[in-house]
Amino acid sequence: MKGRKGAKAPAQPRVRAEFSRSAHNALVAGDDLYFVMERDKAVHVISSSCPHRGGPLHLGDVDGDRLRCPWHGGLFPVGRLCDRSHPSVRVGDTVTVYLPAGEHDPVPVHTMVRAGVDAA
Amino acid sequence: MTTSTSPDSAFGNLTEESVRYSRLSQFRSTSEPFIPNNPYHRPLNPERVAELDWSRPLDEETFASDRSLLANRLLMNVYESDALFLPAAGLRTFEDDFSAFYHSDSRLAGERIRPQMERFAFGFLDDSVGVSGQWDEDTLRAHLRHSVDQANSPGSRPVFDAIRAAKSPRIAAGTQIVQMALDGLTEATAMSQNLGGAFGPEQSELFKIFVDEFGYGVFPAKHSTLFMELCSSVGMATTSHHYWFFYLPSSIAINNYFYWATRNRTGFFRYIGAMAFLEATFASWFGDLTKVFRDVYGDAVDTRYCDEHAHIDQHHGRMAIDDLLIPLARKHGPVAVKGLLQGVEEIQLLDRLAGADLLAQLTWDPALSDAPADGPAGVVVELDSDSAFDTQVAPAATRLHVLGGEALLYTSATGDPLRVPQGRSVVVPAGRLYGVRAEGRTQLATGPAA
Ligand code: FES
Ligand SMILES: [Fe+2]
Ligand SMILES: [Fe+2]
Repeated sequence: MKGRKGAKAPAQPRVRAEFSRSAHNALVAGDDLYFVMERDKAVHVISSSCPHRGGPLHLGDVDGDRLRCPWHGGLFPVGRLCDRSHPSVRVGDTVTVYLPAGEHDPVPVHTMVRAGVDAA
Repeated sequence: MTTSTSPDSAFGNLTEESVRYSRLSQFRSTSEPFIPNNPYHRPLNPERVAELDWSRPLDEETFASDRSLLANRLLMNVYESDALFLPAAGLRTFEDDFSAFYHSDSRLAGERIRPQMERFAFGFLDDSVGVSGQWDEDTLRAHLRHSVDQANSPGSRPVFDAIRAAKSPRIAAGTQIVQMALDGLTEATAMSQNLGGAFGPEQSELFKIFVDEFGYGVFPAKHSTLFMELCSSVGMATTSHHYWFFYLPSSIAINNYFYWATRNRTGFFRYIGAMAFLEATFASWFGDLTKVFRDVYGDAVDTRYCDEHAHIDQHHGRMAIDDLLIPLARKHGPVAVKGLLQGVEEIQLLDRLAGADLLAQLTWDPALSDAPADGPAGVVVELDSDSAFDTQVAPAATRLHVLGGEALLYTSATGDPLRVPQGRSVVVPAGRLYGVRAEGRTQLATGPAA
């Protein structure tokens, strides 16, 4: 588990949010967007900002097992994105997720998410 | 009505109308060699414009000539009055020029002469570049790859070598930066002209490149801002068009080429071809330019403008080819393919011509000599501190002989002018850009250098 070993770095403060799996596919907190990707029946909540230049990963296409950033075509293995997704639990239709705390509280939304579709 | 269709009277009108355009108040003369802070003040010289022989269009030979300088300055002002400039220091003292520059009458006067001036400036490209045959995707890609590789091959940067080898590398590097300022200060303005309309997925692909050029809406990350930081870090001005008088004709022409190709919608494919080619070569070019600037200026120079292009244009090169050029060729067939290839070839041709122009300007080191024994020949002019300043391209090797007073010879925007005292002279080689100023009463004889 993260954050247990040695002189640990201070854990990132997180904020709790809830959303409905059937009604929402993303959460918005200020300028940050988190999108939902379903993989092997598991629900993953992923930061949309591309590590290259902040491109909108939620608008990227999934090609095989990789997500393609729509800006400069950076390829990200879906498996790795899901491994690094934000901590969440699902009970029935309700998902609880802990997102990085910021000035704005996350609000669940339904918006255009291309990357969430067809993620095998 | 026959008069308006005869070529002679057409050129007659062009002379008249281009002179009228160049008399507009925002294009008035100044005695200063630099234009501080006022983006609208762009001196055109009506007397010289009146002499311009429009019946002989430019060609490869005359691409960097004095006629090219005059015509391209005119065109540049027509194009740029389509884009918004506001002075960094605020509009307060420039309100009159602001209104004049964007006044509908000015715009109309410019539009009336634009099409003929465009034919004059770029008509020769139709003769110089021909595209024919059936092009398939593989051949198109192979040709692009070859062209890009060739542009980036070792030994392909004589200008960079010349900057390093110059007597004053800083002055030479400054000359390079001045030429880049034409595009750098307004970067991606030509690109912005085709963001509107409706042309399918390629429109969005173009927009992605544009978004990068604009730093994702973050002013400090905008390419033109990075360019300004480059200028300030080496003590150069960052306003349009401080260095108006020192843009070489070929530099203005290339900048105009992109406006020409984007203002005329049928030039779209040509634009994409030229843009894709440049974007595909920039990463390597800018990588090398960073090294030149480091060598010349040391640690003080802010090279983020170059570094940004060395990085992002690796993407832009690929995006422009894979997501724009190839899909457009596929979708729109022979007309598109022809236009795209014209653009790819034309920009290489113009780049070669401009490279030769810049190289000749950089390597010109004007030297004083004694006046020729057989006395002064040529036209004598009186100069004083309030005489209008202008730069021109010497049509043939020209001797400037100072008969009285002292003349200041400007051959580049950076560094000090060469002081030519009474009794001495200096030879301007054919094709070189120069301007002369005086700080007091001066008599100058200008004539062919025997
Ligand atoms: S921003 Fe995602 S690849 Fe560049
Ligand atoms: Fe750029
Ligand atoms: Fe670019």
